[in-house]
Amino acid sequence: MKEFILKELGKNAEEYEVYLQKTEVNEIHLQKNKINFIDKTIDSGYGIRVHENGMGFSSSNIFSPLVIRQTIKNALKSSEMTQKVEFSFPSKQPSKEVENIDKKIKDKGDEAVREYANQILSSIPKDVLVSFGKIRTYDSHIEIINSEGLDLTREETNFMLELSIIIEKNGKKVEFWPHQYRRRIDDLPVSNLEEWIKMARDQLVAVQPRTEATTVIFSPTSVLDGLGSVIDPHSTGSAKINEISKFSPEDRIASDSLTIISDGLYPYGLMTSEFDDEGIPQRKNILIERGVFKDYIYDQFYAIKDGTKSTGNGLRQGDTFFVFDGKYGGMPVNMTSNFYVKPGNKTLEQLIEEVKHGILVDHFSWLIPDGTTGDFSSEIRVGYYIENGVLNKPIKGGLVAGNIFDMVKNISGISNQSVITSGGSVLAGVCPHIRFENVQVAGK
Amino acid sequence: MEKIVQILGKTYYGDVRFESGNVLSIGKNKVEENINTASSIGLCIRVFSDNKWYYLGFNEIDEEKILDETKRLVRRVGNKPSKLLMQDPWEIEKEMKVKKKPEDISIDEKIKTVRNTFGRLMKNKTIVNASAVLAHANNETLFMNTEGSDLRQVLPFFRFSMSAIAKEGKRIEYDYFLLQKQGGYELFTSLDLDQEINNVVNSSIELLKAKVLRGGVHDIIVDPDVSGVIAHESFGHGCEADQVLRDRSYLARLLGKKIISELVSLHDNSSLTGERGYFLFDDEGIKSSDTVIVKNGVLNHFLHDRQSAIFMNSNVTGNARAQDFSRKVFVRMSNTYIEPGDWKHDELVEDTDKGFYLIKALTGMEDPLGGNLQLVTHKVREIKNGELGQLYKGVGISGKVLEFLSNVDAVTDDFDMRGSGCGKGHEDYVPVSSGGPYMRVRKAIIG
Repeated sequence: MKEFILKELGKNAEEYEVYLQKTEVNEIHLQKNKINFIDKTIDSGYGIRVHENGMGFSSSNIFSPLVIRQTIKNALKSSEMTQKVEFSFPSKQPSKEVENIDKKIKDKGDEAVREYANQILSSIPKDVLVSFGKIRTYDSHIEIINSEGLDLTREETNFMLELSIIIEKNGKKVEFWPHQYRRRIDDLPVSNLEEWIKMARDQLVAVQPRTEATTVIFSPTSVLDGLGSVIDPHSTGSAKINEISKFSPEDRIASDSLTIISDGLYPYGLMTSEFDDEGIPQRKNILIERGVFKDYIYDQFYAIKDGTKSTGNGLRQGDTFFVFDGKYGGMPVNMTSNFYVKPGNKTLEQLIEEVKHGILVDHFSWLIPDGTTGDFSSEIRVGYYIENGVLNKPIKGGLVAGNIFDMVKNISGISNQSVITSGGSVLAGVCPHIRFENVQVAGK
Repeated sequence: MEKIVQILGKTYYGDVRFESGNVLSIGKNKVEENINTASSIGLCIRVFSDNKWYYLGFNEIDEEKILDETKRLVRRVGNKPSKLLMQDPWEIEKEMKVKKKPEDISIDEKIKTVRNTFGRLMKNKTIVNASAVLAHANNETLFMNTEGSDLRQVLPFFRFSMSAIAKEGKRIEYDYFLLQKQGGYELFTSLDLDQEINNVVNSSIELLKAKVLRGGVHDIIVDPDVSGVIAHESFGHGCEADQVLRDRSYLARLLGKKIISELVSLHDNSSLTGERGYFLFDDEGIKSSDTVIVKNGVLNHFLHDRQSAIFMNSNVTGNARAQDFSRKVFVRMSNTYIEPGDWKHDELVEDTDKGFYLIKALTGMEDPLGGNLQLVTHKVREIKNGELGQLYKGVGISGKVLEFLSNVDAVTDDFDMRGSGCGKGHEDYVPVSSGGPYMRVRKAIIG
């Protein structure tokens, strides 16, 4: 059908792009330590951008000639009716090879999912209930073709795991609820279960924190959701042109220790790919270097608007949830690739040892700061008091609140290990632990 | 679909669901103007055997391939004994009527409306950017199962939203308006657009002066939007019976017991015509209904699918829903709300000596096992001697939802619903709405 789409487009439009995607999804659900759901779905579709006057877009997952013609017609009409924009689709540029494929998923996704599910089930201790779990693989084939002669193909894999781990003791039930994405299954080994079960057990004796302003250490996932949700919307060419960025190049916006890179090449990063979703090579773009904002990142549209070149940051993602299998349904958005925070020079243990009194937050219920203002307030799901340099009583409940723009100016330490992680608000990160001073906690 | 059902006839239970949809969205901000269209189809085949669900999902309708895959699945899973609530077959064929079909309004007129709204939002110099979006869709579902049911529904969706971003120096604030319902263009024409534009613009500018509130324990009044998110996110997810069956609900052993203030009654009503979570039948072919979850503080009913209903010896409630053909059907809410009470809004404020008035929920998150509250509001006003005063930026609400709702001591006679999307955890989004009255809650943790 690719040939048919291109033939029809060629007859009707001069400047166009087709984004084609086919994804096999294999999934198993667990319920009360048993498998209770098995699914295989093939999803495919195409998104068409046409530039005749404005930027026209239409998408479909229906491959009949009639619907393809209608989809092209809709894109053309949309281009004709919207305000004129200066734009040109990119031509092919040399790109770097990347690592983003799991052979296990490519070869036999259904078997890989089943094997992982069985490993989980055989690793659950007797007093632990996996109340619910989702194990899913994505195996995607993507093609981008445009009127500038660009004709690119890429393969990618993704893996998703969500578990509800419940422990009951003396009539009290507690839960730890991990939900993570990776490119490869082995990057979320079943051995993680041990640590997650410990986090669940710790909650049996967790206390609600008291109200105070104190030192707080964020885990890599919390760093991704906290900083990623706010730094990204102010670092793009889109934010600059739309006049909603708080940053200007060479502004000091954070502590010296903070360096952040949009890294589209990080091995097995969740956003890693040879080229972005409009065919421009991905690369490493420094957003913040030693606390100073360096430059904006661009997709093709905003690069042309700002008289510069795309930095390979035109990526397709959903508005409200992460998308791997239906990216064809949306236009590229100017956004950060893998949110890489450069590690510091102290171990996590050293960061903790230096704290007389504070809190380590491993998991928030849902940390979703306001991308425009930087404000946030989120409930602690798994945390620990730090007393005299040692992790002390577990904490659950209460709120950590503040403003991310203020917090990044009060960083007192960054751990020396950045790890691949995914968040609840931001998909892709490579982040360390970060220690912030004078953070407001509301509780008892 | 008949051929598929015939093959599924050899299993304990099977059904097939075909979905198709068309959407048009017109949006504008300072830089971009978009008219986006999308069409989609999907076919989901489900088989229940040995108390497990087996699914096949297709978006390419290749009859031979689909029938082959279905036969292969049926041969593999067989007809093993299972427990699933069965019902008598029924039929329905209905398109929800609207007063003014959005498709009958030309795209020209719709884009003019969007441009005009954008222009009016941008008139004040403090507003540096704004957006206006108008969207509508039609979604058709066909459903057949091995019980013999044969169902069809067509639901129209209408959305209008706008936002304004105010900037002063490096400080940026915004506010927004969002309408999402099932219905037609009449939802737009019946709006007081001038008023709504003024509200969004003035609120964005006013927020530039808002102070930051230090956290603590305070008496609060929550607006209908916040009431709705508490009803849905904080309370409602624990009422989903699949969570109860998984031993993952804080409400599991509380059915029939008084758990919260007798001033609070809570519904999930999928038959509430026109609201975002409205439908005629769910994704298991069960008719929509009004479920009274809490009556005067007493936990009255859980929300069910076929499997949970039979395991818990309950009736089905029509709450089995999937994001789309490629996703599992779960027990989900629809239109969830707290019933209005007797208090008048102004009397409630006047009656409150000291506290905070929480406006608009930005985000909320479930905790079905712990029953903890997690939601963030957009704005707060101080209440002093019965009057609304100083504006603060939004805050979070924390604590246990049962304790929080037990501390409700006044419920107003106002009522409003807001459409949104709901995830089960971080994914599987389905359209829902939530709402309620204003409520006063004593000793709430905010910050």
